[in-house]
Amino acid sequence: MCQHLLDQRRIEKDNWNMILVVQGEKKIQFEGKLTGYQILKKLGLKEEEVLLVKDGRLFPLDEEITEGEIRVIPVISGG
Amino acid sequence: MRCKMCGEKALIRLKAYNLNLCDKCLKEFTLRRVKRTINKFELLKENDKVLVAVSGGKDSLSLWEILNKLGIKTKGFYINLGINGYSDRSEEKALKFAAERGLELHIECVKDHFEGLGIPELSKMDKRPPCSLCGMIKRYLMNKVAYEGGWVLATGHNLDDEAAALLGNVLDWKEGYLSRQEPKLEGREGFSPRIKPLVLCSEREMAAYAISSGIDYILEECPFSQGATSIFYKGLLNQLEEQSPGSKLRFYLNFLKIKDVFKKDTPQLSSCVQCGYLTTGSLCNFCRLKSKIKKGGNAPL
Repeated sequence: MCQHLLDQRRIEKDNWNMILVVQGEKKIQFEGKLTGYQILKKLGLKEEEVLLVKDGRLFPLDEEITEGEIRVIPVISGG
Repeated sequence: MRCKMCGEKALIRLKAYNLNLCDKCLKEFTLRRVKRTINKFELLKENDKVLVAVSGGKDSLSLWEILNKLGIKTKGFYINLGINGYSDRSEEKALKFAAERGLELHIECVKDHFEGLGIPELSKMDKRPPCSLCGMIKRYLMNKVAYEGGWVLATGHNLDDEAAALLGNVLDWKEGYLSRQEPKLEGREGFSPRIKPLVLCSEREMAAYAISSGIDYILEECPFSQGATSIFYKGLLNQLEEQSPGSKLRFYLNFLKIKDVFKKDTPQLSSCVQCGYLTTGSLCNFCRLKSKIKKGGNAPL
């Protein structure tokens, strides 16, 4: 098998079960399976202060995610 | 988690109402809640037209969309504050929102009124905090445009904004502010009526509504809002809310029941000698700032 295909497979394998949490400028990777609530706990965030968004849609906090990107949207604004 | 309204998969839990909602029902719920707020506090009369003050943020853009969905005649009003980068990016969001929905948007630029100076420069020149100056200029321009056009002015203040302001006013017992903290301020000579149709919707509900409705709003915060007391108060109230869901709503609604205790006689107002709008002195703060610039107040910059 060509080297580039092997490399591609390795990259894909490395990204299995990877959850990428994007919080503003910060990007954090988690492995395995996490619920929305667990993500908030890991980041030390309160349910009232943020929303989780996956593929442009609200992500329920009790749902499990195994891979993909989750964006943390702050809801508090003002000055 | 299932939607309490339709049984579909729920996307959000609103603990204050013990309610799980799906995408579709969340939008309907918010729409109904705003409609109920308008009716409960008699915010609008039949045929009133509404000037919606928009900042490019989630609350004001969602408010504009909701009022339109409720069949109310609206026009958007954006003030470019001249804050480097931030103001242009938020103006873009407001413009895009209006263009996508075929809505009319009126734009005023602070720099056009103050000889090319924006909020940061005016703040330095006047030796006044940017947020205080910004508030004064926004209030003046919003009132002027609304009053002269015969509009009711609507702002996107949500429950969290009102509860945080209330907490701040109560901590210092600012009776004057407490007496004016209402969902509606009636119009009178020189003042347009002002309404806050989102006062019963939490900040989280509004963000969820904006995301569910595909509203492209500015996530970035004003650079001057860092460390703002109101954000600190919101954090405190959210701690309370986590322990006791519905606290913010109860705090605000119970205040409204007793707010008349703080009512005082309105201070004597006279017309500003330059613009004619009502003020406590002979010259309003807006015209005072303009005069200062004309007299070379910006020389040190």
